[in-house]
Amino acid sequence: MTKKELFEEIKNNLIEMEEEVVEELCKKSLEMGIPAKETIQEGLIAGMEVVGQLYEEEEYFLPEVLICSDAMNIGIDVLKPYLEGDLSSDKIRAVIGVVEGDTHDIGKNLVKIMLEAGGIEVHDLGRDVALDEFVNKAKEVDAHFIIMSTLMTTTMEGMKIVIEKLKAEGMRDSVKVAIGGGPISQRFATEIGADLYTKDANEAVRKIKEIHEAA
Amino acid sequence: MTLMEYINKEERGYLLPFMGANGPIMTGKTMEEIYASPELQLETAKYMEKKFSSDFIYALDEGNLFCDALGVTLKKPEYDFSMVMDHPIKNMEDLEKLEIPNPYTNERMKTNLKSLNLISENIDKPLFVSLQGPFTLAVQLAGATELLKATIKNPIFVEKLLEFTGEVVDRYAKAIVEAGVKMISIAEPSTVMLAPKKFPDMVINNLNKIFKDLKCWKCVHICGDTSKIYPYILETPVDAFSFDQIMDMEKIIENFPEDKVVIGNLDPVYLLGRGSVQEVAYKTAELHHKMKKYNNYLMGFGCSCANTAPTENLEAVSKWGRATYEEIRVFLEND
Repeated sequence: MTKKELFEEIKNNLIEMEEEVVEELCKKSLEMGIPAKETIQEGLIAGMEVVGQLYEEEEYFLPEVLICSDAMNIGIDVLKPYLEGDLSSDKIRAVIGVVEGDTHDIGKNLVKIMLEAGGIEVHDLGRDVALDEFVNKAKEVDAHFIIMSTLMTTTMEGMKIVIEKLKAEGMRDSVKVAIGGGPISQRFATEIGADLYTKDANEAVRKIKEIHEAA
Repeated sequence: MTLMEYINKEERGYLLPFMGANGPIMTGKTMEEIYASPELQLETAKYMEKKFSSDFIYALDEGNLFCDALGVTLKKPEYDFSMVMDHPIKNMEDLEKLEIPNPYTNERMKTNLKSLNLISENIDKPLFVSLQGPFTLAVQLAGATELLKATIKNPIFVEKLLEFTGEVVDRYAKAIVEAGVKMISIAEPSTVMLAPKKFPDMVINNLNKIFKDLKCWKCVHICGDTSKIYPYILETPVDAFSFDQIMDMEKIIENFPEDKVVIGNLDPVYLLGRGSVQEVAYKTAELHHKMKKYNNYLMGFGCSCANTAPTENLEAVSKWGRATYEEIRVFLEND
């Protein structure tokens, strides 16, 4: 099997949700002496990009995306110990979480999956996250983005407070804010001064990359 | 009397408000205090009815009642709905340990039944209750991510879990109807995560079972864009479907069966929570004016009212949500 064929196999098996096969193929890539970073990029991430397209086209829904993401993470776990050098310095770094008062995290998890598949370094604070924690974590990891989600009308205002806290800390210019979730809209994002609102996870990845490149 | 007959009794708009924690905030009584006391429930319902009269009595939302009764860990803010903090049902073994709560012996449910009975006997308007639906309850028990993955990897577990949650909702729904509830809305917000083709197995089967022998007015509410979903719901013996604020009511109702009621969809955040009194009055009157030609329209909120909605806004929606069509016409002409 050539390197190209192997990447194609990894990609296809990831799309088909064959976690064990993906794991075996990633091990095989190491035996063949292929750099781990290349396998991640050309096999796993390439596969997740197709999964993202299938999701946008409504061929795949959340269950399929979640299982494909598991397959990707299994592959990454195999390859991670063999990654050479510090790959994180040139990556986009994002802090993500569901705002305080809300525990609905499926949307946040989906965005996280797509961001990671898009090569973005994600620091996941989980759900029901204290508002200060977003700012503190962003400071700690020198994040480029804070991404907040909520499904509840009652907790939306927390997003505005985080933006105010960023201003108070003098971090607003260096940290962009992206928001999403059921009751969130572009109008709300504009009102509270967020930099980005998107309806779906794939769009979030594309726009975050665009904003980062433009900055 | 059917729901359709009820909302056409008089030549005016009819209003069904979906309240949040507004009652507890306004009365200064915490959610848990109210849940625990049938007398306080009645007092709160009377207060809300006096302050923001509508065409239904809206008892304090049941929230995560089923999870509470099943012993799931909840975070309970004093003046907001509780949140599920853990998803304890990971597999069949966990599920087998769960027992369907008996509404007549489970302490929390038993108290609710007393409260609902007290309200229905003391306030002469149809008593409305919103309940978490079986799929959404399953998501709360198993966690959204795990449940969704299980729909592909472990469908038998999902099937059994949905059988269980369906039975939980079914038993309680029947008990509250006996207690005097006139209208039940099953809230299934988590179903928006499903592919529409999964609806028959994962949602419709349970709703059919629950609605089949339920002797009350039956409604389903799902948040978000439900344009591809609601036709499935209409296959069940449901009386009404309640729409989110993002949906276009006029477009919906044009293609809606005339024998089923369309409920919606004043914006609970931008209008009721953040709008001015004038905006609330105008938008409420305007929506009724647009919909008055349809006999199967009932005004409601797109989702639960923002807890911080100003009293004056709720008063305005109460006034114009129930105004006669003539009053509305004059108001809009002079505005």
